[in-house]
Amino acid sequence: MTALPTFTLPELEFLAEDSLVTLIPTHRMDVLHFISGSYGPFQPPSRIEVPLWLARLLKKKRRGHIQPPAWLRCAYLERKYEEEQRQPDRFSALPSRYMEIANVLLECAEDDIPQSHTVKRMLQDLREIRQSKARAGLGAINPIYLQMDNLGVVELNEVRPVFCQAFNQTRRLEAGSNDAEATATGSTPGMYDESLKHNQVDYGY
Amino acid sequence: MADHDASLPSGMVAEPDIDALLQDAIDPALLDHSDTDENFSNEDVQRLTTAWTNEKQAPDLLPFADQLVGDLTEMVQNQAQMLDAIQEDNTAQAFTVMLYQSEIERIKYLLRSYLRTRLLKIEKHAMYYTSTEDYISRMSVNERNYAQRYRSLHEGHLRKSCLNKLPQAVQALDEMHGDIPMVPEPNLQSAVICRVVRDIGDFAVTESETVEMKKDNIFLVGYQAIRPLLAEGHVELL
Repeated sequence: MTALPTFTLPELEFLAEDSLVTLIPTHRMDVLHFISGSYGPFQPPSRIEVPLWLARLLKKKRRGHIQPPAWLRCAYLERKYEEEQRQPDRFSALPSRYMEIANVLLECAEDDIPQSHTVKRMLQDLREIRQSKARAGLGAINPIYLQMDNLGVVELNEVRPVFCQAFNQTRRLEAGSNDAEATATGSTPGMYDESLKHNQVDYGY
Repeated sequence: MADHDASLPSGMVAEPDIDALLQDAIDPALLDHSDTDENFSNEDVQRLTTAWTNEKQAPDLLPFADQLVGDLTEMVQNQAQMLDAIQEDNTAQAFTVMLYQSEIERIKYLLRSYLRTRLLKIEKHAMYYTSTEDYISRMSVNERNYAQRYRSLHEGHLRKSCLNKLPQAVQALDEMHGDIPMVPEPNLQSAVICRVVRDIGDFAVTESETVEMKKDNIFLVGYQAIRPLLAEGHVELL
């Protein structure tokens, strides 16, 4: 049973580049008619929402500045970090592609992000606390389902191989024990109750 | 860490101002709405993106996004022709041409990734897909030809390298062994991670278990359980 390939980080960044960001153009430009939609006209200093890939190109060619999203500010990230600490059993809400978007923005528009060094450090802190929670969630794996609200796409992609395999294995064991117990005691409630309890809370560990 | 907030004194107060923060980030007065009639958006690229990610994570082959691939291929060709025309009579537009070109490259990459993901899955279970009515209808004409040729090459190889030297009785490639088929099939029970696209309400994930599925919930669950939801577009795979 070979697993399908998971996404690579460049692939995830590619997907995240369709997200809209706010651009502050510095040059005039007519409406651009793309296949996926039209953007413009670009009239400095009016802000305009464009896909990240376009914003990155315009930034690179010095045609504008990127206004970092509200969640990419120190105050906001700090609050999210505190939230993560307060709630050991769930994840705080962040855009599902926050890591990829932050990565692209810090790479191409670091000078547009206030206190970018602190932002980087706080993203790293946030990532670590969430990562350790996500890993601990492995204990909640059961053969039925696991709710993983608010985990980002990159984070899901990281835990996917282990979690999916664990899920498939518990399912096989469950099927096996059902067969065995059908002939022996004839019931499985103990096991079910346990997994049910885990299901009630997202990540009940 | 409090000193980071110097520029944002209101940022630290309490929970509700997250919205306020987001609100003032996009000041509607500063956004240009003057020519909304001229601006359009086309969901096709987004739809193909979803088709690709779903295909990549689903254990079995999904129906081919025939219309979508055809439409987008055509749009890419038209756009490329238009760019050639612009470039010929106006070199000053080089910058915008470069922008358009970038989008074309992105869509081409998406199309290729989608098709390649499918070919990979077809190769893995060529024999099963080419002999199951349901899956034959999920493939495009080209994919069907590819699967057939792949299958006969593979079978030819097995026969030449090994099977022909064995007794007739054990040469078959598609026997049943008791109730276990010899042809490998995709494992529909295997785990997938999905995001709920719209409120579904209580949904039975197994015979005895239901779970409330609300928009943006994320579940790790057996593929078989959410297959009908995926077909309807109520969930997407991540």
